[in-house]
Amino acid sequence: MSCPRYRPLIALWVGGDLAPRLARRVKTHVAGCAACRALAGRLLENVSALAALAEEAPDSEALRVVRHRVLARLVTEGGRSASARIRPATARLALRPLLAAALVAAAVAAAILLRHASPPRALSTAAARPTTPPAPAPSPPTPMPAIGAAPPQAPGRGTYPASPRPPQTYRRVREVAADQRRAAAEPIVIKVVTDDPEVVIYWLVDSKKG
Amino acid sequence: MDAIVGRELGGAGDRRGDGLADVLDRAQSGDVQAFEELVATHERAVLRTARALLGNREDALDAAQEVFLRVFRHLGRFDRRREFSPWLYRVAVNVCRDIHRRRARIPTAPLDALDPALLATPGDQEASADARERQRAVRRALALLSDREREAVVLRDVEGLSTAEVARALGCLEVTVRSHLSRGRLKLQAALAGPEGEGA
Repeated sequence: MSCPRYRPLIALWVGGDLAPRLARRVKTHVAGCAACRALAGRLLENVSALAALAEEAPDSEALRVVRHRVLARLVTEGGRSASARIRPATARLALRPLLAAALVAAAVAAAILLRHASPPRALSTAAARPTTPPAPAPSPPTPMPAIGAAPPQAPGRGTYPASPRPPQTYRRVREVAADQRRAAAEPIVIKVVTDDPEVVIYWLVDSKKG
Repeated sequence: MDAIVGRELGGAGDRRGDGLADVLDRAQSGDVQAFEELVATHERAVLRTARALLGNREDALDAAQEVFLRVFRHLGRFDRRREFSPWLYRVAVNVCRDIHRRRARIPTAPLDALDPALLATPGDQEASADARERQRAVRRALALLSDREREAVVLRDVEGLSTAEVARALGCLEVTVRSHLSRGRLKLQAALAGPEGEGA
């Protein structure tokens, strides 16, 4: 019969769960007590047997079943909670190329339209102003197209300033024709010149609205 | 992958490398593929724990499934400053408690109420050298412990968690864990020793 006082301590000692000082005391007792030594031996065997449970070959079928069930549940719950958490990260990533493509497509479409459409007659720039003086008398208001007219010899090109452009990527030139200012019904035309001579962007601003 | 599960997860902490930390980061941000990796890394330990706590394969499968679903739902709340494995084991223990409460299949008995004949069959005695038979006997003996004793013994002796990690997983003090461990190991010893070994 092992010593009742030491039994709970031996049960901890075999698993290395005692503080060093107490462990030394138990070790000394076990060394001198045959019954407690026998108990310690059996407890140690059991601890080893428990540890061996972790070494058992994995139940591959069970692992497969668990994984399948978990993922299936995640898919079925996706409409409620799971995908709600998933969506933001993936959606942001998915939208980026779409947004970039949309911007590029818009820019290309604007460039094509600008090259092939007639520029507004009222448009004037610092370089173009000498060639398009203001009308001496008010004329019937002409509808202002969204995209202005360019000189006939080089549509889309003739309105560029003659001087070399500064090295900025984009340069905004705002030129408002005097007659347009007087004619409140006429929109203000803003011309945006890019460093690509093929691309000019016009903005029409309704002067009534500022 | 399996090399880092089970006993290797416990002991002196998570011992997770940057790989697992990265997987956790991605899984927390909602990356399902990362969560799959997390499942693949820990499913063996979770299934093993559930089986040891619940005593049968079918319940263990249900438990493991529920554990990972709960982990997925609550992963966003997991505090990254803490170790992952005790948290995972805590979820596993809670799920097993729920299942155990629902099904109440595993009988528990105080030490003096054990029926040694239930465990110490002649076959068990002869199979003391047979590791597999001994493991079966150990599993049956585990079923005779109280829930808390079984949880402490399984997490400490099967899964190899430190006492501190077991305490975190069970939500109790280390001294309580030691108390459960001591009683649980002695009960196991009494159950496995049979009538003649009970008084040892």
